[in-house]
Amino acid sequence: MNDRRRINGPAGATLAPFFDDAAPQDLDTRSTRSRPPNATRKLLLKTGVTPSASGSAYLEIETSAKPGLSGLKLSCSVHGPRALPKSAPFSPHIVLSTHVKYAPFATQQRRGYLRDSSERDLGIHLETALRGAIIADRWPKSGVDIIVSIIEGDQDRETSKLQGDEVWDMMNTLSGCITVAAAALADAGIDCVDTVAGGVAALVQDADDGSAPSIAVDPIPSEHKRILAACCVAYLPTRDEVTNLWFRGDLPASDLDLYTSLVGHGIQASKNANRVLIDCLSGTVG
Amino acid sequence: MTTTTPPTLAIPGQLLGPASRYQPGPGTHLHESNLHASLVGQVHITQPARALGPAKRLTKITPAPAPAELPTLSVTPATQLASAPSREKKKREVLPEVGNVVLCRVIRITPRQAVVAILVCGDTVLEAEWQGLIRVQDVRATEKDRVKIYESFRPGDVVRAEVISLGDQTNYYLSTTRNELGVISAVSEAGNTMVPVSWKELMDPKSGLMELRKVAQPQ
Amino acid sequence: MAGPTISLPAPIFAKISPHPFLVRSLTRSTAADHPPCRANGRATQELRPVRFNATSLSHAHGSALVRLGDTTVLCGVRGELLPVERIPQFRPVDKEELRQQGENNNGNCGDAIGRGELRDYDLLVPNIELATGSAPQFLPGVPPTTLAQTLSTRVYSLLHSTGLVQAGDLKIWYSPKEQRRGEDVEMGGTGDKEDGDEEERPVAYWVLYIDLLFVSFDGNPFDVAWAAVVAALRDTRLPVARWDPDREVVVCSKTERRRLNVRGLPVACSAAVFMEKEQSEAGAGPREGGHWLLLDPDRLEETLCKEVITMVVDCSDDETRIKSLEKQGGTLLGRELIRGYAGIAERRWKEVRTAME
Repeated sequence: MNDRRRINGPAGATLAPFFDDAAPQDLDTRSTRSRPPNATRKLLLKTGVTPSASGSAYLEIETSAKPGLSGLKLSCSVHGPRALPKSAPFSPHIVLSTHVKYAPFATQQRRGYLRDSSERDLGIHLETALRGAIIADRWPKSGVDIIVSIIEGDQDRETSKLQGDEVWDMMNTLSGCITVAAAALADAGIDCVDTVAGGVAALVQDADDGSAPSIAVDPIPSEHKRILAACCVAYLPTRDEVTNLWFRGDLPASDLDLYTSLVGHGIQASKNANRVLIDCLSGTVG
Repeated sequence: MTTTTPPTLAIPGQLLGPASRYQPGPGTHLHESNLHASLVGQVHITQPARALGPAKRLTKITPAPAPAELPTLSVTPATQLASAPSREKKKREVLPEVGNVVLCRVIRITPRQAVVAILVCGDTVLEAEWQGLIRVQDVRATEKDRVKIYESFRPGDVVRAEVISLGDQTNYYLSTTRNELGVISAVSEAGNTMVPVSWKELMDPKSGLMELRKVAQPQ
Repeated sequence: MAGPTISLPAPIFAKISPHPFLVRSLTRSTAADHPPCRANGRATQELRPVRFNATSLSHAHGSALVRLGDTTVLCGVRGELLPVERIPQFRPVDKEELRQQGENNNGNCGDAIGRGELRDYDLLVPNIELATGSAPQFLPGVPPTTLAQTLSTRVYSLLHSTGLVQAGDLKIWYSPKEQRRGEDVEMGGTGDKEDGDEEERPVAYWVLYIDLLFVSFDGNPFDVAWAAVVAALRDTRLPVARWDPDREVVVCSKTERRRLNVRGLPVACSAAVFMEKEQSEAGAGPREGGHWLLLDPDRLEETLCKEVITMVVDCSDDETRIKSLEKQGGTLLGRELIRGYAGIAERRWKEVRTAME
């Protein structure tokens, strides 16, 4: 119950605008993918957006040509190393705490101010991805807070109903969170073994005729007919290590090759993101 | 080894050089007998200090390959460029370490100890507040059993102290036994800034009243 | 002067004794030709430049990003529909009453009713989120701080008292006759009551959720938050909506959007009073020591000042109108100072208007 501490608006629940489905252009809003299957969208990354924090970064995935289709916009701030709360037990290394929060206006459905399960999910995956990259024992007895605000989710506004796309949107969001958090951590000057970046690959089916599904990197759910499976990889390029792997979908267990190649494509996407990350960080010292 | 000289700028994970030729310094880490950067910043090579050898008697058994002979590689975060001239970029956060001299403010006192907030470590202003503890036995070097905390510190005093231990989960343990350590700035009960009179007294220049403290020797 | 025996580098001095540090920087340069200068390098009456960035949040109906020095706020306005049957105590405004007001209309009477609707049905919902890591003291995972709650409430009451948004703009009408006569005529917003249609009735209201996200925090949150609210509302375009009697829902047009009619341009201007003496003894008569009025205080200055004044002015009608005046703590700002302050607020208003356009 956070009711008393916020302004809650009318007592009766309000409805999101219901759009006129009879509009002619609605018949086929599903755009098709214009990028080649192994190309990621353009990333924009900037550090130092929150001067009051120890480190911060902002990430934007460029919107595709089609208007109304939103790109991901994330802002991340890092606070620490700082003293652990009094109640915390002794820790010989740094304690990570990650928070991922959607802004109320980030998605089609208005988000509340309390964290929901998907946000907690993202937070946990982000923590695992980063924990593998940080040299934790350099900072005994201390904690670091990593806060990612999702200013705009990776979602199509025009499709009025959600086709169960949220799960796949979360994959893209997580990969963005990992990259932006890595930039903010580097900005804060916290020791890392490598620059970790996220990448997504998905197994998609574009036609209904039962043709073989194909693998696409950095998928936009609304551009594909159906997504069978997707995975988000957090990858350390110099070490050639995966710190977090999140796989969702439906893939026959027998087909190990397909699985490996899906992860391989995820790593490919992560390498692309890493290049942007490195450019961005080199810019700050140069 | 392919790289002959380390790069001038580094980002985390970047290969700096083989461990057989350099020693790891701050901002670097070892991985598979190579040195890699762990921070974004400029790479510095520090040559080892010479002339340690002959003057020193060999009283201890040193590890076989004397590591001091190798130059140390370190990565220091770049200070911000001239974009914000009035405000200097905050330094990278540091942790208090054993042996550091810190500046702290007394938060509360008990008969056993003074609880302080560490504000400055060495020359670095700390962004986060770390809690420290000056126990009654660490206030001064002599007559330890006659030390009274309330005759040494009061809440609000600014104290220069040395870190003697990482302490427990929340506190660093500090000591003010050395002469140059102790209260460096304090306000009297009347609210005036006091001046040191002796090693254990401060005076309010307005009222002329004395107050007891463990005073730091002016530097 | 703290510790005459020691001399410390400026950043360390600032950290261990911020108050004397600020006093020293304010008194240091008075002897020279230039006016006193604050620790952040600004003159006492110097405001940080305000910048409005165009944003394109595609899930919000209106948005704005405002920067004031190192304070950055992002505001998103989103409309949602509130059908009248969901309003527990819905009391339609009497048609006769409305018409009467329309006749002797010079705006003001109709306003009063509109404002009543805004407030009664809670159509404006501003919320401020500080816990985005915008500053070390604002971390997520805790309930909103007192500051966040106070700011939300202040924005809320100012929204209502300034009459920035009118209820008429948020009302969705249904007039059966007109829709029957020509199906292609879409009902815009405010009722165009050509014939005394008895059945014409409001069916729903837009509720504006105004969410403010602090990206970075460096003092003076209210001024920035309010500027962001005004800018975002001016940017807001709500879809044109009509009542579909067959399905009994409000249907929005995908293509047609209507700009919200935002009246006036109120601008907030805050300042803090900084006392030379850190602790004021109770019962001390006239204050000893000087004081400074610091305009647009930053994070450090805000922690050192007790007395804060905020004035909201609107000069859009070629005349400075004070929309709100708030003062907290302290006893220093008297009538004279407050009068002079209107001039400062006016200057701020001009700056903000130029920046917004």
